[in-house]
Amino acid sequence: MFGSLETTLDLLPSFSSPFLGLELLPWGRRGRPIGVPTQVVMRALGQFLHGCLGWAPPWVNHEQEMYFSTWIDWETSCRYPYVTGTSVIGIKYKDGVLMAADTGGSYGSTLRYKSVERIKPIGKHSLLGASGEISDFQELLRYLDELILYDNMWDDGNSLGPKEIHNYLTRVMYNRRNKFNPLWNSLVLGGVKNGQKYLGVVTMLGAHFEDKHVATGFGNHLAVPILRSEWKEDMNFEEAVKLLEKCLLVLLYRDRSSINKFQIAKITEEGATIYPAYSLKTFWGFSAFQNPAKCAEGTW
Amino acid sequence: MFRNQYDTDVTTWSPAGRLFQVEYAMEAVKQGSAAVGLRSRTHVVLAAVNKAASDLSSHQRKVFKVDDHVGVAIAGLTADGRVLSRYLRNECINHSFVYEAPLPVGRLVVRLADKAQVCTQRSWKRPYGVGLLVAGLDESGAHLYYNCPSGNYFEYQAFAIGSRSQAAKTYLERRFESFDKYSSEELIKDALFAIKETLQGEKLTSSICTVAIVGVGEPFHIIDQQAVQEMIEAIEAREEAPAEPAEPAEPAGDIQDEGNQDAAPMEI
Repeated sequence: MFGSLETTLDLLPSFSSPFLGLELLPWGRRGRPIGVPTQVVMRALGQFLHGCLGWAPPWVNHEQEMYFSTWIDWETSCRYPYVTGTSVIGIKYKDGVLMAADTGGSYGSTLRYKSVERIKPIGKHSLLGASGEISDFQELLRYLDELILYDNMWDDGNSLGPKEIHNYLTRVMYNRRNKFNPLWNSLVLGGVKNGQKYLGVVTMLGAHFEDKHVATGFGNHLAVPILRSEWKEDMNFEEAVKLLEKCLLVLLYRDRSSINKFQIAKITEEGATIYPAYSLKTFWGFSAFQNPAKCAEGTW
Repeated sequence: MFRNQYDTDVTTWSPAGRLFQVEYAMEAVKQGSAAVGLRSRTHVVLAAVNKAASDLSSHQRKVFKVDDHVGVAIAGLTADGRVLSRYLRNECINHSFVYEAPLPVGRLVVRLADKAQVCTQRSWKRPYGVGLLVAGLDESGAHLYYNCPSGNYFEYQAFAIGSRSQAAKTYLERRFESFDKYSSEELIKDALFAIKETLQGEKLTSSICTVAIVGVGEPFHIIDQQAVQEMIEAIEAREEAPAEPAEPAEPAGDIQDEGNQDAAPMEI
């Protein structure tokens, strides 16, 4: 068909092989064995064409067989997060669920965006907070928007509660992880429906669980111990906010990707409220911070 | 039955604006053995008459559990009913898997109705020849729906389908206003009464009927034959009693009792 190219290409093995796609002396279509170098060339040619043109002729072996789980698919690789949010904390209290998160979006080590809302209301009964890749969070919000839209369109007195949304998110996250294309988020889903309070977490691997108080990211290490010792059943709003602020302050001091601008959000039977962002008072007047050059001449 | 030139195809309209094939499918439902459904605010009962083809064979299955909170009773082509039950079960299971919550009954019947409607608008298909009484419970309460081969569905307080169902409907029409407050036992008794109406003289025993119930705190289940037989016997004992035991016997009441006795046969 295509002149000299045909002779080599025709020699590709017509069956898939289990080891690296290459085999010692497999049979080619011409009935003669093909050596490894030819196979390597053919595979390389396939990848090259596929990368350059976006496609490769079918006789060139360009499909990546997933023999090894570490191989990366060309188009949709297991993405690395770029703009990330840090911890989210959630606790149950008397009237419902309270969530807090800072409004920072980091670009690696740079605190690039300082007004990112990381907690959003979902439907009538839930709040979703996310840490991790912000664009993936926005994608999830689109999915949920569609879900809630269709749910509302039924107009039949039934509505999706926090438990249903939590499970739906678990399915989405788990299926994406199975395709090696995760949504790089840790989600906190809180809500109240028919008097029942609900608070759950879904990780980027699809692991999910429920608890009375949860946190993601650094919050797991810094906030959860505080919550474990100081959370109590049926706190009123003020007590709950004080507890959250205590955790947020620790995170502000110790997590380098947090900023001093927080949003508290609450969800009760009446609905969701996301409070405007505010800052906490910090104290840096420790004696050890005075005279920083004391032990290190020339430092600032 | 009407035989005319517009009834060959389900996609042919008649000049009068009817789809005869769909109407013939609804006839198939009327030929099937009876099924009744009744609902109160918290419970729904389904009862069906199971006829066996012969003494040697087993009874036709008419009541299917679809999920813990939903069940159906069918009348008409039982094969079609079985296939639709499988579809309903699948929908419920899929919803439970994604949302870990029961599929609201109203949404389930709409999916079923849409599926039935497709068969009324494709020349290579035929309508399902089965009517389904869908009984279920969700957060908006207890529901009883009737799904038609035409793709229509309606919600009912009580309904009966199948052969001689008119007798049951007449009985239910007289009583339905008080159903909301009934307990589950009273609902079941009324369902059995309604079934009895469709038998027109034949003896009602638990071997020829199936009764199922779903309600608050009670997942959908078919009541076992023994319990049904006991309830039937209780009903029959009550029927044979001289009068409804509402008033205690008084001298003046004797005449009233007499009057009641005359009135009682008309009640039934």
